[in-house]
Amino acid sequence: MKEWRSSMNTSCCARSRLGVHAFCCALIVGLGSLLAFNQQARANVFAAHLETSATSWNFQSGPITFSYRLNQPATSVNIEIYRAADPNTVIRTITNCPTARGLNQVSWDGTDDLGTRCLPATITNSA
Amino acid sequence: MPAGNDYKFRVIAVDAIGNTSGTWVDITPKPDGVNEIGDAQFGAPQGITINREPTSAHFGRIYISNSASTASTNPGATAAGDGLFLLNNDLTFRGGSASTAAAAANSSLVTSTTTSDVLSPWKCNINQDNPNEIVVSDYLDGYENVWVFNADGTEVQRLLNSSTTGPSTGAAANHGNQFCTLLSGIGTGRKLWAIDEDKDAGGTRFTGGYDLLRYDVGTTLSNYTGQPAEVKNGGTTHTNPTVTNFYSGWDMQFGRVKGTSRLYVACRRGNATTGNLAMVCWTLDGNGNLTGALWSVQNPALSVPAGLPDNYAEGWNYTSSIAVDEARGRGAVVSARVAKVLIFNTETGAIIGPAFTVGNGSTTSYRGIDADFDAAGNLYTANANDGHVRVWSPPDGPNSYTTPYSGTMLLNCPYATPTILVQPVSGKTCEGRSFTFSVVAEGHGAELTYQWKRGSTVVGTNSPTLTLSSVTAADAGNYTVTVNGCGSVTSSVATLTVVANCIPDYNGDNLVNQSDWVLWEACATGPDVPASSECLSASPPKDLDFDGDVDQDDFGIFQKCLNGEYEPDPACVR
Repeated sequence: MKEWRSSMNTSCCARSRLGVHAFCCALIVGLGSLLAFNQQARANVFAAHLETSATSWNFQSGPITFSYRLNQPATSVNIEIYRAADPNTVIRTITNCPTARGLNQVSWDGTDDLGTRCLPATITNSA
Repeated sequence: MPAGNDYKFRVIAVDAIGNTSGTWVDITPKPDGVNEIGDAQFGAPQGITINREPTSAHFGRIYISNSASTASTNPGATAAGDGLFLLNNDLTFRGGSASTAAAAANSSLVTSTTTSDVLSPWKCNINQDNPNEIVVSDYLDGYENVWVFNADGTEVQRLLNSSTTGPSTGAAANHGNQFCTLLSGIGTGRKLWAIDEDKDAGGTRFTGGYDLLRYDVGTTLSNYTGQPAEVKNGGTTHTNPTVTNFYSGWDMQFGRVKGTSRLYVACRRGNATTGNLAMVCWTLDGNGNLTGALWSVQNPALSVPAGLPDNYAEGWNYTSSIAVDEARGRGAVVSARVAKVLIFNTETGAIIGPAFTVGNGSTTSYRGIDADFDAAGNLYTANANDGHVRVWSPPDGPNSYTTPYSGTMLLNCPYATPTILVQPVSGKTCEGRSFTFSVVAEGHGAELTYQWKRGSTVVGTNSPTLTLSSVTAADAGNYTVTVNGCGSVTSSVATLTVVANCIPDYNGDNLVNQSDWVLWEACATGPDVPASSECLSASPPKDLDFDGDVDQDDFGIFQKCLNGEYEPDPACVR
């Protein structure tokens, strides 16, 4: 089935002592039309299908893109990145992420909230 | 691969608007603004089950068992074929890259294309203790098989095959058309539950009816041949220990929480000819075995709010589904005849309404409507009568659910973890002085970062040195540094001791003068010559720079404190 909405977000902005990252811009995709969708009948929203298309990645070559699906439009979506060994320590919060129902995509440039670039890495889907 | 920096992601999705209508509202996606996403997609969706276990890699996935294949029942149906369909949490078909909806739909069909015997599947349900197992009951092919699929539909087991390998005698032979099957438990504790709707008049193959059967299948993957470990309401007496005239169970559901202690069963109707709704909620023990009835409802007329369908004449019949959302204390039962949903209290069984219509009903008894809740409390209905799958938003108001969903991605650094070449060293200093810890580490493939802690308190980051200026007593303690590179390593503990009084007024006369110099000189050893323990433990310290000897460096500090007839300057030792 054809997706009716697939947002590639380049507007997610992160808190950073170095300021707004280069990939963070002001482009908000389709929010106006999104909010027109049946506002009085919005569902309780949840995200699922968090995935990445990459099997290996080196941040030196650019940001990584990952995706999630929302069952319904959301009012706000944040993405938290944390060390697997320490789920309570969020190293990066990406805010203003796409809120559309369906497939959404977000870029991460590999930096944490302090602006420190994270590591070259391989990415493994644990599924 | 060596241990690396592993990261995970979680998506926090919030709906601050929600359903403000106060009632259950159809919020089925309409991609084109007109037609619901489920329009004409399914022939007869008889079953729906949703993975609502947030820790599952397949969290949010929706499974729909389709029991009629073509336009013969729903003109325009594109999801042809009996089988199980995989959908995303937004109701789009999972997979399916083809350009046409039909092709995409069929690419998500995971049963009939690989297993020819899966005909007319009825209910499908996720193993509540293992979301990677989906059990599907087979209805109308005369075999009454029970199939188990993995989460992707790539592995299929015929767990119960009554036609060929199943027992021909005994209680296990007493099952007929199994409208609904459930799985619970894992490993040797895995249990298959089957509810028996038909063959109540003594079918040609089976002699019993209305049974609730439990097979302790354990790790058996196919063709289980054992007798059921438990049978409720066996035979043809229509009598149930807790629900009189329990008749034609059509659906059942666990609380859908791992290790849940309840099993809810809905009957097609209260008795053989009349009546409406019958439900029973059984409790289970820690091993997943039925114990007693928590509550039962045979005719909820007295508790049905005015105006709601409350008897056979009004059409409440063929209760085809029961769905449970224990987290929110509510369940849903669906009538296939009038295509209405009643919401009930999972603690008491009381109908708490409201009733709402979920499409078209049918007087055709075997075309059911199934329902399930998602993780956020929305109700999904799969209507075999009109071929629609719909989503209903609960009247809970806005922002009732946030998803702390743990993603499935790990970033594994491909290089060796850093190593510490020089550990931080314990030390002693005076209040008011500065003190510096340092570490030397090496790593590959990444810039090293550092995090210093005193105990569990983070006191510094991103430097191989930690300088504490104007030290106070509060700075005393055990320090460690974690070096992050490709992976991380934590140093050994280095202790900082803070000496409160370092002013070399050894005779306590509030002066630092010749008399104190005489006392200091008595401990003088020279550079790198260890001082006696007595001198090293003296207070105020004779080893004023705390390097183990008493030499000219210490004298230099002492000398700055010499003040003759005046009060010692506390800054002299800094």
